[in-house]
Amino acid sequence: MTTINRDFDHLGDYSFDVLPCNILNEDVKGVGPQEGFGGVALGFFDGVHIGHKELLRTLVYMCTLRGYEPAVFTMDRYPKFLRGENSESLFDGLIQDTRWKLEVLFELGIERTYIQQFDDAFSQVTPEDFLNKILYDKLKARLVVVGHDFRFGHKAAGDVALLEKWGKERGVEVIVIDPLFSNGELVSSTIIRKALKEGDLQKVTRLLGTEYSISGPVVPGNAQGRTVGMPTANVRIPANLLVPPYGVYVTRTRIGGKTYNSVTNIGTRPTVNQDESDVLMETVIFDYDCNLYGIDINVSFLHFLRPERSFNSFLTLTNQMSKDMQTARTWLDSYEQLWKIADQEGITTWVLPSDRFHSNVINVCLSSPADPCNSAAHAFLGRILSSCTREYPTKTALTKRLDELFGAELDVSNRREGDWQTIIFRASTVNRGMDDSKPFHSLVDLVAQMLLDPPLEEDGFLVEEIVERERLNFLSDWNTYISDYKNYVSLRTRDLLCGDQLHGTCMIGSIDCIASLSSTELTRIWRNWLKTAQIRVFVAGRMDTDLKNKVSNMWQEVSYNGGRIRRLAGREPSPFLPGQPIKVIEKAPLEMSRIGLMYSGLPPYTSYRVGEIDVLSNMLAAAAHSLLNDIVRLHPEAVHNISCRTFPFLSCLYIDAIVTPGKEDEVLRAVDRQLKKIVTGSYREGLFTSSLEIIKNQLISISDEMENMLSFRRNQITSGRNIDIDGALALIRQITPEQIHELASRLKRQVTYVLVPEKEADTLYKGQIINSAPNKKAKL
Amino acid sequence: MHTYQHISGLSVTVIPKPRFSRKFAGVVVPYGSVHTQFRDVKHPHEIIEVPPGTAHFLEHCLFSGKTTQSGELIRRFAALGVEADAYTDYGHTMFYVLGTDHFGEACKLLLSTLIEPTIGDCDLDLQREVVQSELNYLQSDSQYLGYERLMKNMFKNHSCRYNVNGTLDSIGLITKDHLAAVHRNFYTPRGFSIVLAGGFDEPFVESFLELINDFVPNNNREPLGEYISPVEPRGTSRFTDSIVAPHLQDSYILGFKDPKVNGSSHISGANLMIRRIAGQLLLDVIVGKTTFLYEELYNLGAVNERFHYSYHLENDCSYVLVGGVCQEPDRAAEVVYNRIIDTLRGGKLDEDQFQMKKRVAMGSFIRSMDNIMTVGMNAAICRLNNIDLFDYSSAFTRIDLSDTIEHMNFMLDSEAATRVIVN
Repeated sequence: MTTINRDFDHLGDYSFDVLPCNILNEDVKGVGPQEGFGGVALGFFDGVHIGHKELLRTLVYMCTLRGYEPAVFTMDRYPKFLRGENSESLFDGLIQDTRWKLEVLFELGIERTYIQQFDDAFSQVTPEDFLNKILYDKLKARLVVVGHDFRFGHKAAGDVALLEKWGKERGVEVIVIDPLFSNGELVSSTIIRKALKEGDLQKVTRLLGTEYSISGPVVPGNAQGRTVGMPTANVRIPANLLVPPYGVYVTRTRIGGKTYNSVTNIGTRPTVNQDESDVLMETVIFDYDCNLYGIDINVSFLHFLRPERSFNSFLTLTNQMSKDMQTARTWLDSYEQLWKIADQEGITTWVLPSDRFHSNVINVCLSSPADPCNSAAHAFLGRILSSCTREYPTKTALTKRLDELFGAELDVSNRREGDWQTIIFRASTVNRGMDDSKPFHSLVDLVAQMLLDPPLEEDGFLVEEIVERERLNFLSDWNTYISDYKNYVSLRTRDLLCGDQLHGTCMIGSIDCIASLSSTELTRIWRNWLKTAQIRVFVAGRMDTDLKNKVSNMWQEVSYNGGRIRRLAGREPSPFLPGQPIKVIEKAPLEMSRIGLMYSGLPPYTSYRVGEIDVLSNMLAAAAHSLLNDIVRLHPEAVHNISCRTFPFLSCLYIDAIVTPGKEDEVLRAVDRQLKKIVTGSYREGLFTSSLEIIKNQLISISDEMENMLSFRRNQITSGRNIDIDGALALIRQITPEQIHELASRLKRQVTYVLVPEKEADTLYKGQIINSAPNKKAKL
Repeated sequence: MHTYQHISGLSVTVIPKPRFSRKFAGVVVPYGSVHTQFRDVKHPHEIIEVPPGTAHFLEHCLFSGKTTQSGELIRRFAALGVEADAYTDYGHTMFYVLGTDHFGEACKLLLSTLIEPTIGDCDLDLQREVVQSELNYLQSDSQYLGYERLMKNMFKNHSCRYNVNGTLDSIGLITKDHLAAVHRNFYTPRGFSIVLAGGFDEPFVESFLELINDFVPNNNREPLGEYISPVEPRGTSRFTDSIVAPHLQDSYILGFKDPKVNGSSHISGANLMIRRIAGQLLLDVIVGKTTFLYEELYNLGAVNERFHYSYHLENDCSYVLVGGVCQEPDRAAEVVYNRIIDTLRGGKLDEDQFQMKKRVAMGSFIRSMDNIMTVGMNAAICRLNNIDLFDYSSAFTRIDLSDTIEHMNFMLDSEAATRVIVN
């Protein structure tokens, strides 16, 4: 690493290189990845808004596929050429400082940031020299990702066309990201700056994909707030930063691994200070009172309460501050957004407050890389742990306890996310009982006991009798599940798609492993699982401080040895690369034939274009008016049912059908015809607008059910998008029919799986050898 | 919650849920799958008999609309961005729409579909194929096969012995005259119970009530057809039966018929709702997850997500079903049957457990208020039985164990019990 300018020392641990202005000088060495090649995203990325994130996540995704080191090449200052002619209106401050930018880039999976020092000398570098000598030679870039309007080189002579041409000549993969539109506007840093200046925080949040925030160390103030019981944490705002209008805001403050509700004033404090140039950010943090001098805090802005004003006296000011705090608390109670309240050694806790519902829900998600044996053990453990605790050592006893909590629900589910597995422990009950009790608080305690305090023998291992009982029932449930041919065909089609890749690991791992794991092995795996899995806790419903503390402190007893998995969307789960298309016909003892079709070509799971996938699915099969359901309506003698779903972590679309034996090829041709209609746009008028309307309404409807809201936000976080419903709606509204046609044109059928009735196989496929479908049932 | 009564007899119940985006409108028609015999409102001396499955078939025809090749009605709802669906049960049929925008138009479309149908344009043959295809599909489900046989063994004359969809044969017998007769007799506004639930404002409610007035003239007081209950023998036709289906999963199902509930017992309204709740609570205490029976079955590996139990009570028929899928269905059926009898006969029912189950049911009711569709549907069923949704919650206080045991002791009558094993 070549460090020239000590100004960057405060940037701490984030991996970055400061590139000197004379980078083309042959003496400048040691820049670029230490091994192999790199993938580089080019841009200034002020604010790292959702358009930037789409670009950066594409970079990380593609680098994971190619085995490159993902990096960003950016400038140390806002390049002059971006200002254009009316520089004053276009630029009067950065949205974020470099430190915050590095933090965001790091969280997106960028492993190295090159900060190019930009001065007149560097501005003379020609586009060709930039590409060949800097990108190709020094940074060893073999993949470059840029936005549609990217310019580079002396006088911005270089553009995307030149870059693409160069890429073809030099064997460098160039990806140009289409612009993102939200509510009719191009997502850009310029628009965000304008919104910030106007104080439109909702728009800023929507376009950034996160709340606008300011970070910095706490500096001493005049200590007046402390005298009236409202100590403030004061942060100086860097001069080059654009700030929202002066005034009082509802905020959240992150200190170390925890986040607190707060109220913040930005401005010059006219009541107590006459120096108008002294702009300060003062924050009163709720339920927190510790000395923060010198400690870094991050303050996120949620809602504007009122403009700054001068008061007659300090007493009047204090009175207003109390009112502001009360207003903020009330507002926060009804602000239905998911936010992280704690991040302790990789265990994150999120809450989604809502006062509209009668019940609360908690999800505890444990994620780890999939592999047949570990996944089996984790799925089995999920079963065992959710059946009893040390205090309630039988299923009956636990169920009785749940009954006492007004019929609380408790279940565990296994999710496959690409080459990762997530076990979700879910519990829910009413937040207030008819006897004024708080059953949900007790339920949270029960969940903690379930995970951390199961019944153990004297030697410290899981009770053998419980393990055997749950094994029998788990395998019996599995046999019931797999006996449903809808499930069987889905699994088999996925097996054929994934081959030996870990993405094909069954969500409960290997049945043989479940059948053979001993209680000793399970105990060892359980202890290790708690220490190493990525653990995320989500709670939704009515919140109070007690509840927030309870869920944050659930994991205090879990020891940590530094080995907890850190999962980065785009990298984990890893991108999936399908093989060659295949067609397989098998037979089984069933009455009707089944078809399973898998199509690759959907955008990466991190993409903000996921709304297009939803619209396409709806047009295809998700509603009674859809194209594939037309086949059912018009040919019920051939096909009974067709459905469609997506596997986002495989970037695949799956279609399955129940077909009259002998009609399989006819149905396959019908499916192809219907798909082609979307590619060519030759479907009936109104289908696209109906589907768009339905998807929009489905999104709006999510907020009507608390668990759906939580599930939606949880999935956003897993995929790395982290946008709320308003943000998703704003993106959906921009979708055009042409985008859907283009998406459909990229679909490629990878697997055609046909399962025919045993008794018909010989007649239907004369002369062909049709194998029996593999038996996936467990031996009991 | 407010209920408005139209002069025709039609009722509209409004349950506003401020700060919710979705809106639900449900119309309950008091005609269900068991109403296969009724006195014609136009010619009271005539008794009309329709094939089993007619109620469900009519539901299909109404929603398929004109020229089913295009499925026009479905597309019209979809174009408004609303979800529209319907279901048929023993005693009623419900049609509903669920959405956020264009809801007024959706309601108008729904009402016109029900009150001014285009049955004449419906392609019966196409609908027949669709329904028969659904029935064919069910033949590959072991539990369905067992249920179908059990109901036929349990009831001789009552139409609940047939699946709501009818049978492959009965569907072939339905004609347009049958559909027209049903529509004429039961799809009259007098019998409709309409529920609106969700994020409505006052102007919308007012406009909806005006819409009702437009569709239903004040002088429309058409009476409903009169359902005729069949005479049903006391017992079942056989105690045990079996189906050989080696290609399907092994399963069992037990049925207990209540001979005291028949055409002359007149259970309805609040009484019916209370008994339904009470019966289900009692089953929770006998075979639910906190019982020794459940634990015993669980330890045998005989219980999984397909284990089920339910109590069904209509005006003129009532029964209990218990069943599941497992490796030794004969043994499981025997264990379940003996335990039920043993528990009821020996008076081994725990009052504390019963009270606990009431607590669970109350919790479930509170939680159901969070879901617009559930609130709407529950309110509509309550209205059909002439009670309000919030009266439903007070029903729990009127349920006691001893009365419930008395109502449910029909399960001790071996002549009214039956079982089917599928293996």
